[in-house]
Amino acid sequence: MSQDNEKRPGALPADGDLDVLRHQVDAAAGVEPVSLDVSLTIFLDSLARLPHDTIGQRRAIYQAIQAGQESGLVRIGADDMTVDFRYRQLRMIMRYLERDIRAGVDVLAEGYRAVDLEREHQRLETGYATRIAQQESRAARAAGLLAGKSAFLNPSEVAQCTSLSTRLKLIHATQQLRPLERGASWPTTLGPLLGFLLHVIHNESRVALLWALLGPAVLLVLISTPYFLTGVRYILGMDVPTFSLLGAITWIMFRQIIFRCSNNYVSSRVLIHLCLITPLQHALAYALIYLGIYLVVYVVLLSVGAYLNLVTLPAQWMLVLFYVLMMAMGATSIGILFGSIATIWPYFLRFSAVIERCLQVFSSVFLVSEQLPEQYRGYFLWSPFAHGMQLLRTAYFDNYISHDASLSYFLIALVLLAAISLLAERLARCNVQPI
Amino acid sequence: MIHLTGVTDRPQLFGEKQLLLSGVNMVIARDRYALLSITPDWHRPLIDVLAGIRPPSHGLVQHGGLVSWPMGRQGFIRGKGSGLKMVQLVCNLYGLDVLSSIDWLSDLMTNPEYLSKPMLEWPLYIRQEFSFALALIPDFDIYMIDGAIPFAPCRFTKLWQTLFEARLANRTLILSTYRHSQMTDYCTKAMIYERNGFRIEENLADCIGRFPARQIRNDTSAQGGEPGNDSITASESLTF
Repeated sequence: MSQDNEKRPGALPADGDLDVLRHQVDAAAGVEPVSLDVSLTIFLDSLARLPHDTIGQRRAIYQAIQAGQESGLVRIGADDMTVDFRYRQLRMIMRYLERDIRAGVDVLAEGYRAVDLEREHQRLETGYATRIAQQESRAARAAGLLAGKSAFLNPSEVAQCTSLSTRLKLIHATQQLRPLERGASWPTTLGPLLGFLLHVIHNESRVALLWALLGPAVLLVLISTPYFLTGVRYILGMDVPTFSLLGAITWIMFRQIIFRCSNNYVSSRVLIHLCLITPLQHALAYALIYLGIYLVVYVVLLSVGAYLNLVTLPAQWMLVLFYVLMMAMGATSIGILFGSIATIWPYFLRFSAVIERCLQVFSSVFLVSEQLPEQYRGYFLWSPFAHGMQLLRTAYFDNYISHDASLSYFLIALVLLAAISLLAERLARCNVQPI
Repeated sequence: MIHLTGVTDRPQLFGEKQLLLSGVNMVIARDRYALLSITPDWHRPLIDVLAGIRPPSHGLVQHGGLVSWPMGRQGFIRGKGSGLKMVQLVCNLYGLDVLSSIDWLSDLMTNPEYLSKPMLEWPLYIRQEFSFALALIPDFDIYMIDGAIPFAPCRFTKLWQTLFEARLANRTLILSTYRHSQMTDYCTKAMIYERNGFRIEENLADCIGRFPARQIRNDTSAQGGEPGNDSITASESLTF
């Protein structure tokens, strides 16, 4: 066949010859990098053996070598980096060889060396070596990090480390359900948070709790004084000290919850680093703490007052407790609403005291609407808290039934308020940055 | 694994509203990433969003597992509460046994006697040790580090690094630090923040060259923002 080809210049080398060449290259494939001389020899031998006068003939030879190498590398399972290197090497030799052949250089002559080829090849080899070194160091770092770390521990530290990691495993083994598995659960977060916040409040000031008792007592005196000075002992069947005490404690609880909630919503930027605690939970925890504190205040002041025969005890104490809780809920809603506004406009909290004072006037703290002339009652009864306070007094005293207060108005207003404040909280939440 | 769905965020940074993230949709698979960018000052709000501490203005950030608090920040380790109560809080939140955790912690820390004192009175190195050591106790799946990993040559560092390395197997790590060596030691991929989004790159060494980390500059200089929005206090800059 090859003789036929020589007779017809320009005909492609026979498929059989190319197959033989391909198999030779395939069989010679190895993992070790091949030197320039070896590769070049394969090319020169093939060119010498096969017809190579036209570009088409040479291309067929080159392609056979390349295909042989590729299949060989796939067969031995060479990694990407080696395949890439060998491919580049091959293409480089082809390029220089072809350039010289076209320039009329006799490439088959003894001692042929392409100009620049060696220099270029040197560069390729250096790059390959660098990549290999990088890969090795990466692998060594990934695999030997732990080994390397423990290598610099001294024997006693190794012992400590082993013991610590065993005990850590023990802690995990006895772990209860993880927060993830038990879902976003409020009680499991609020409980521990309440405990921690109480501890912080206790550490911050030991007289804070005493002051919580003194505050209502002062307001109680303020409210009762005008009534006593004018000689009034009973208001619509309610005795003045109990009337004042009820207004005073409830309202002080109300305002404290508003202030603490709003302040702590904005400034709860420390504990929210623990991803499970949100500013809303933080604000709610404070509301619960102050509700608890003032429930204790109620119990203490009422029992002391009853012992001294100054106040009367509640007629329906469950209902009284319910209204106190509802007032606390209203205060929490307002507090969270104010807190949400303050995340956008921090100065707003300065106004919260003013707003609270205005609310105080219209919330039946000092008087009930039935004491007022008919035409003025409308000015007070818009406030849901006026309704709440009068309902509270109705539940507390046997002799007083408020005709103006409406339970449905009070409850609907509370639900609306809670919905608005939760909405505002959702919108403002992304403004609370951890400190 | 962290899923970001249509995340757009415009927080108040240094007194100005900045577009931090814009329409980011991506899944951050389980791996160890070094957070890199030309604006290291913004890493803090970025980590807040990634850790789920602060929801973004729009969009959803979901985690496939428990996320740690950003270690290395002073974070919640301040105030009048004592360290013991803080351990108790964390253990109760994550359903862990309090006493054995306190026991474990006091064996690891250099000066466990500080645990019973208010955190306000702790020296900075104790706060840092506490933040890193406590984070080993809950069984986290995603670890966030915002600051330098302990590097002072002492017993705590050696023990912590060994324990952390063991914990880190098959877990996600997102590390934002100014220490190159720690990035190359702990991370395998680069998480590049640019053009209001994230991009994951395989070649960490290259990326560190292109985004050289530096210490956050706003620590010592006066801050432009109102006091409510400062991102790091001056005292933190020294060791955190």
